[in-house]
Amino acid sequence: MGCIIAMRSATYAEKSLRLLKSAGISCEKVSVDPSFTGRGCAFGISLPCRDVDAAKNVLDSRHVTYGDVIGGH
Amino acid sequence: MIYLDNAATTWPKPECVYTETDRVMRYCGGSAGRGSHKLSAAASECLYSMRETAGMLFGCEPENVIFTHNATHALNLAIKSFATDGSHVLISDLEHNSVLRPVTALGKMNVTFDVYGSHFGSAEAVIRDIKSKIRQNTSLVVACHTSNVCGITLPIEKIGALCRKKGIAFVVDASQSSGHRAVDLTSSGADAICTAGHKGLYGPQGTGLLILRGDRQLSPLLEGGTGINSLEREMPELLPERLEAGTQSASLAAGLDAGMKWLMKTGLSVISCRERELAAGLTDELLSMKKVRVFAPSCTGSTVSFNIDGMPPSGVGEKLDRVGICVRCGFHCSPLAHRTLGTGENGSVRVSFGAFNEMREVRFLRDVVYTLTRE
Repeated sequence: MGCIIAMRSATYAEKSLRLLKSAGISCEKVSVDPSFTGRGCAFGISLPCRDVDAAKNVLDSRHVTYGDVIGGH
Repeated sequence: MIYLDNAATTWPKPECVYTETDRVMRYCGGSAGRGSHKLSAAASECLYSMRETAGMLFGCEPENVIFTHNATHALNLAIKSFATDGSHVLISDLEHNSVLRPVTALGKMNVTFDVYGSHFGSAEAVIRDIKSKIRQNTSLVVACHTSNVCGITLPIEKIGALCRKKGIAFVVDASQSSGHRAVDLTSSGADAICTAGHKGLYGPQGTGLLILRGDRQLSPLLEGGTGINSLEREMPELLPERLEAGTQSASLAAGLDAGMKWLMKTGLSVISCRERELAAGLTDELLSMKKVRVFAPSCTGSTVSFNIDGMPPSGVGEKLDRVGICVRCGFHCSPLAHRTLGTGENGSVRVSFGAFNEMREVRFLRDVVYTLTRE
């Protein structure tokens, strides 16, 4: 889809997926390349880069913490 | 068959529980939180859906719902974290062995404990008793919300308020109350609510829940794979993964999810009203029999405990089983509660109702018990 917001756990990825979809943002849960986190297996939310800011607003409003955004540079 | 052992495990389950458990095992067979292929994603969705439903029921965020094997697992997690080395713990005189044994085992960490009285649920007396037993080093109070033996219910909101005021952790064992009455993390003031999934929540056996306040951090009982941060030697700090090492059962989670949804749709108060009606009906019948003693008859919720003079509870249980009535006899893994009720020598016969019991079953049980009193 373009960009990936790295999530801190599988549960937070699932939570974010539902929050974003209910906010009308098209997205899907994906595995993040372990080399990106340096900590091993991780999950992220893949979405169009143009929706990243809106997605962050939704997650911030529900106090869901997330990691870096991959792609879109 | 008349099943009256719902305090141990509710049975039968609502049809949706069988259907969902079977469906997920057949069609969502991946490992939840491991990888992102379709079957894994489907399993992850099941786990998360269960957390979301439990969060609605207990008043917390989904990530604060820890999926455990049973209530004992949840209680061990909570007790062994909150009872710090060398500290003091208070437990009620109704506690199940799932509380008594962990606090006893903590003796090797120099943890000591005292028992406060349940006083038939009198809030004033319970609080007075707890206040008199709190020490400088008391780190934890545990309260069995409702007894598994007789239905006495402790005033958890008041105990929770006292604990918060004193800065003491508070753990509620809601194994017998969840699904029967509202149990909420906020109103109870609890730091953790522990419960079984296979009792009043109508989930499958092998399921339990630890509902944890968001600002509380517990130590894992088990370390292992979590599907995240796999290059690190330590368990992740984030809940629920921190406390859920190893593959979680998506099918059991889905069954529990279906049970909780059924409960909410049917109406918790509708079910508990029906159970109370059955229990009250049986209590009245038993109290009218000369050789029968009912324990804490004014406190019965969905559970009735009784004995027949001159007959050991196990003997009564065998005779009831022969005519197709399933009850639980003995100590119900709660020696403290039986000591409190004065049945510490032989225990009692426990009848516990569920959503699918009917008054005609009460009448049949009454007739059989009456016959036994005439032997």
